[in-house]
Amino acid sequence: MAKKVRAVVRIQLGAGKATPAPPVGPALGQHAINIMQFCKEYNEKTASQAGQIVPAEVTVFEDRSFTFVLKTPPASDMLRKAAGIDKGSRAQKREKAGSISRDQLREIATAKMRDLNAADIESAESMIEGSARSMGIEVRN
Amino acid sequence: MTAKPLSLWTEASIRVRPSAVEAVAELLQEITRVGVTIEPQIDAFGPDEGYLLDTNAPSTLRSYFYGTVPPARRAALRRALRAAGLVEAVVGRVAWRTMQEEDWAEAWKEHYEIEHIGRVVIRPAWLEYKDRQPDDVVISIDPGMAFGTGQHATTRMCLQALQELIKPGDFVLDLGTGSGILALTAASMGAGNVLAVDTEEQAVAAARFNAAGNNLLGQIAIAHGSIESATIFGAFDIILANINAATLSSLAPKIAGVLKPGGHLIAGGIIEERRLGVTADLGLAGLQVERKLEEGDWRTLVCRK
Repeated sequence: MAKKVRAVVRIQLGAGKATPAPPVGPALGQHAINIMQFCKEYNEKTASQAGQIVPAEVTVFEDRSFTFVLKTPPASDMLRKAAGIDKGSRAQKREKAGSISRDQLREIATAKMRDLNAADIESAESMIEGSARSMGIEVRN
Repeated sequence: MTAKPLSLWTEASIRVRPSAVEAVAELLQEITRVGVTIEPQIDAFGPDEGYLLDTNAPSTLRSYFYGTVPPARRAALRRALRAAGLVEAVVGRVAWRTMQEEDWAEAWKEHYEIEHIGRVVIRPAWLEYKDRQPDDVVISIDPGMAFGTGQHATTRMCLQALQELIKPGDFVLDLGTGSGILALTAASMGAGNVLAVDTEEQAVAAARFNAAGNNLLGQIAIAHGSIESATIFGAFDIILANINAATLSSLAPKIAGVLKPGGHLIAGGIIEERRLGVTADLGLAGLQVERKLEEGDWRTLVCRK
């Protein structure tokens, strides 16, 4: 059946943790998707990645059917791992939470490239660097 | 099912420039702890032609707070954005709105249609089925927030296998009954006794509601629990378990323990990459796969003891 795309929604949530509560319920419910159907599929497909944030990119069609693909964990998760810290600093102007090297930055940007909608590796790097800065993670030259 | 009060939530919706989407999402995640959704701007083409992401346009980020959010907490979100150096990346203002669970929970019903799976006809409880044929087994379903609408591949395949195997008078167990769809079908197709269990209260309530709606309460026992609830009932001719690979693997010995020799297990909710593991665990428990049904990524295994 010919299908026209209605919307693309990316949901960031913990592996195996999809329930009809927010953010899944309202995000998909407003496009009139069967929420439980998404939850069952997401939880089964992410069962082996417990403890990680695994974004799902859901494509909703005009007939309210949908497909989804799993994406790489958010850059912030990767940045925290690379910097060896538990969490970032909320007040980046005052505190430094940690640091990573430029090579580590490039590594994360490369891994995230396909999910970032970046035109090239340089713009992917600058996006990741922006995330790092807002978390109080410094990029060492 | 309508007795339960519905939850009130507050949505914060923010339009963010592409370069800062990840950073703002991270901040929202940290503040709300319930996850974030990101909706990029797209240009949708014609049918089957896909779409193009607009990489320069702002994306809409949505995050949710339980209950209402007083002005002081709203201001705190703006302060957090400023403190993180992200205020420049936000386009326009943060849009706030309160919403109730029913605002999203029921929306999909509008697009839920009558489904035919072999002889079985799954009718949404709010729709009329006019073309009834003499052979039809019509089941009316309102899944509420439980799984099992007949729209999902795994439910369809279980229904297919069930109608091919069931004989009048069979003892049937439905493990993880959800909306009760499989148990109701078994009862409607002449099962002698049906036991339906689920570990989620919401599912038990939905299954009872649907059993009543189909006048089948007298033929189905519905209980809150798992396989342990089934052992006192003796042995079953058919066990339906449309759950997931991990649960099937761990319950395999207990399932085999309550299945009659020569009886069948219909195991659903398995994705292809997990099929071999489940097959091995079922085999060790004495359940041999006789048949495999496939649809998309999903597999349903029909096993014999």
